[in-house]
Amino acid sequence: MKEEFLRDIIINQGIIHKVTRIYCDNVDDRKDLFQEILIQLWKSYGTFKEQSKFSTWMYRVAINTSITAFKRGSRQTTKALFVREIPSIADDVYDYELEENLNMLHTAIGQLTGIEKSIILLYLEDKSYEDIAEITGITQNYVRVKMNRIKKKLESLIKGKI
Amino acid sequence: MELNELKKAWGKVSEAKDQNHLVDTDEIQQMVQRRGSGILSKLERNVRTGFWLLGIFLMLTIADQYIPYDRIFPSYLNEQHIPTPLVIKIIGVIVNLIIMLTFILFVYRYQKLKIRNLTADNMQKALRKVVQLLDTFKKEFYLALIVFSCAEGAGFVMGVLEGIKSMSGINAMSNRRIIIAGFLILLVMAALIALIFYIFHKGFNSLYGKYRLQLIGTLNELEETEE
Repeated sequence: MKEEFLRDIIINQGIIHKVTRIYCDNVDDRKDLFQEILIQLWKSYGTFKEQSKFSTWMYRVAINTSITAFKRGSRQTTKALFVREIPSIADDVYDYELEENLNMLHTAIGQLTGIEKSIILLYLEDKSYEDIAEITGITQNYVRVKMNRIKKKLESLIKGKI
Repeated sequence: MELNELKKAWGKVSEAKDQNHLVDTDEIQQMVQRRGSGILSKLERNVRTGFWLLGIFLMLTIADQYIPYDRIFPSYLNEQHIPTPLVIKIIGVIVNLIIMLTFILFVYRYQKLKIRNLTADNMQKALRKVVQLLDTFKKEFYLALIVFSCAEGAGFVMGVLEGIKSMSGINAMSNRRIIIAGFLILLVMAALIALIFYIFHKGFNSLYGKYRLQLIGTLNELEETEE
């Protein structure tokens, strides 16, 4: 089972990185959360049933862990995240205006509640409403309603320069 | 800025950043072996600690009933032998039974909740389970504490009364002095019980209470979203 677990984690570890980036901005906090998610994944691995996709299950564990992981308000995303540190990103993608917009978006996401963060993360990851509902345990209709509210909230935060 | 416009760029930038932080199997194995620092990991450890403390407490209280003090301290007890009143013995047995029942119920509910796998559950269900576990534990903890405090208080009062009865010269004391002495004894007992209660209450809050409140906050937020 351990080999299977390691293989699945290696393949899908990007999910944990994405979740930790949404919930923490500090490198140390991200490492702690990364470890906590791995621990919870390992503990729950026996319950994974192939009825759902591994990535869906992994998102659920990672998000549940992040929401409940740390003291409320102690891990907020407020600092710039998308600084130009990655040479592998093509110039057409990583222009300065985009960088500024992404940083504003990230800072605005930092103002959202834990559940709102999970919904916007899944939206940005291009998950369908059906997948978001399955991962978060919220009904599809409510995901739609909530998504509209989050979009408005983000737009107003960004327009108000946060 | 349109959110939809940023969605694509977010994905590309995120993926590129992920490549910089990839961990290998050895690192994953090491991380999994470490102690978690999140609330659920801490709670799981604290619940297990509470579980063992309750077990140890139960063993000690039962052991206390059956320790042969007259054989361990024969000279002292033969000189000052005061028989334990039947009421105290009965109270002792009842208290032990209540604490034992509390302990068995807690173990049963703990096993039933499968706290190890909570994060794989539906978020609301998972949070409800944790809060439910903490509520159960809180009720059982305070029940055991109240029962224990009452039994100790009753034992203390009965012990003092038996001691007074066996004192030489007690008949010479005026009723007023006896009432004052009785009042002072009750006051000391009440202060001791209040202190024990306060210490245990604070201990409970720092181990479980603060996490319970936080999780209730998150659960309320989730339930609010469903309205």
